[in-house]
Amino acid sequence: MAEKHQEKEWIHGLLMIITCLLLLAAAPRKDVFRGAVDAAGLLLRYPEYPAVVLERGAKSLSSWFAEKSVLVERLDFLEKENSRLKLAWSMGSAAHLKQELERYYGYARVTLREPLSWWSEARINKGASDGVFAGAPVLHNGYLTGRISSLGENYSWVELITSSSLMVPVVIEETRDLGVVAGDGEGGLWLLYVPEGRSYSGGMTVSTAMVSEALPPGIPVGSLSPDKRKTGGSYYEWKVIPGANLNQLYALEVYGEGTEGGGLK
Amino acid sequence: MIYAGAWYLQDFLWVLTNGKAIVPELFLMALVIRALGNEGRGVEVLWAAFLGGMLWDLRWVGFPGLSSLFYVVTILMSRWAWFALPQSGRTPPLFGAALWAAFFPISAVRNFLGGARGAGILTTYFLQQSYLLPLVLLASLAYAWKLKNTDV
Repeated sequence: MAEKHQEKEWIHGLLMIITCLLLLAAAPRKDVFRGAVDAAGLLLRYPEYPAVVLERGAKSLSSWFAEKSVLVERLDFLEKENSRLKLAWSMGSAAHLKQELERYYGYARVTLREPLSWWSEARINKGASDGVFAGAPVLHNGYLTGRISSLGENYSWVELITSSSLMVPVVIEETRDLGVVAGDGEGGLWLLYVPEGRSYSGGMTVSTAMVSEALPPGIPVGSLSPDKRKTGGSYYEWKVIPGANLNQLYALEVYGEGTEGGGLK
Repeated sequence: MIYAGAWYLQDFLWVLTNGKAIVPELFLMALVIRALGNEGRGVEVLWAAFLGGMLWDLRWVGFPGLSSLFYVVTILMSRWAWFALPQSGRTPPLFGAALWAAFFPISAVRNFLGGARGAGILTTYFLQQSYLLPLVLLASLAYAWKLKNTDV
């Protein structure tokens, strides 16, 4: 039985081999099989459709990733370029501001204000050669900002009124009471030595008093705030709101003696 | 059904890779496993090999009869060699070796028709083997498992 099976199998196999060889012999004549090839393509079109869809999906996904990578690269380049342009613009803008400040006659430009001594001092670009002298009052927007503490030929250091070591004799215009104004080194300005029992209201004007020789009287300093605090003894301290904008010190006016009218050269 | 499934899977992979990658000969593997595992199904496997090979040629190769010739000859030779062995000699390692050897002719044809020349032949051959060997190993394990269950 098994031998009969084997015999049948060999016969079928040999018939198939002969058929294959005959077909291969006819293979160069492509027109013979064109119809069969087309029919096979048509027949398999639908079963193969999911694979075609998957292949297209994979292809578009891969091109999406490729495009994304190009976009990320481009974005990176533009960000770097933007940073460079911003830096160039800020440098140009700073140079423009410097030129603007230089044009104001009688004004000195602030060239250095160190963070560690922010409320104590600032350096300006006018010095002894411009008629500046030690102790001269320095103004901002017409209000007292500080005094010249030291100077060189072409520069000076200004001690600001918010410095704890600068004490300025002042008068309260409305009451003609005298006092002393000093900073706390942290941006605050206080009217010291106010005797207990004296009462002031917020908004009263504080100006320099005719006590010091170096400091002319009548230079406005600021106005009183309603805030006060008690110190040792029987004295109070009243908060003073400076008239000068100490947060925007770009240029200062030095009340000098070097030129006619008290201005700088 | 198993022949149609294996053929479709191979065709599916071929379409998916757009003909740019070497696809494992899943159809031939199913044929050889079936041919070596069932002594009485020789004619059935041969016809499946002939028709499946013919369809593959019409769809992809363009030389009707090429794949079917190699499939049919491979099945005939594999069965002749395998069933010439005594029952006790048909061990899983030998099954694996027969399966692996059965792929050699068609792999060579695919390699040549794929356009590989010179050193490219070796590269393609190793790539084919990297797909083939795990499949042969799996089929041998399945055969060993079947053998063990039959003995019980």
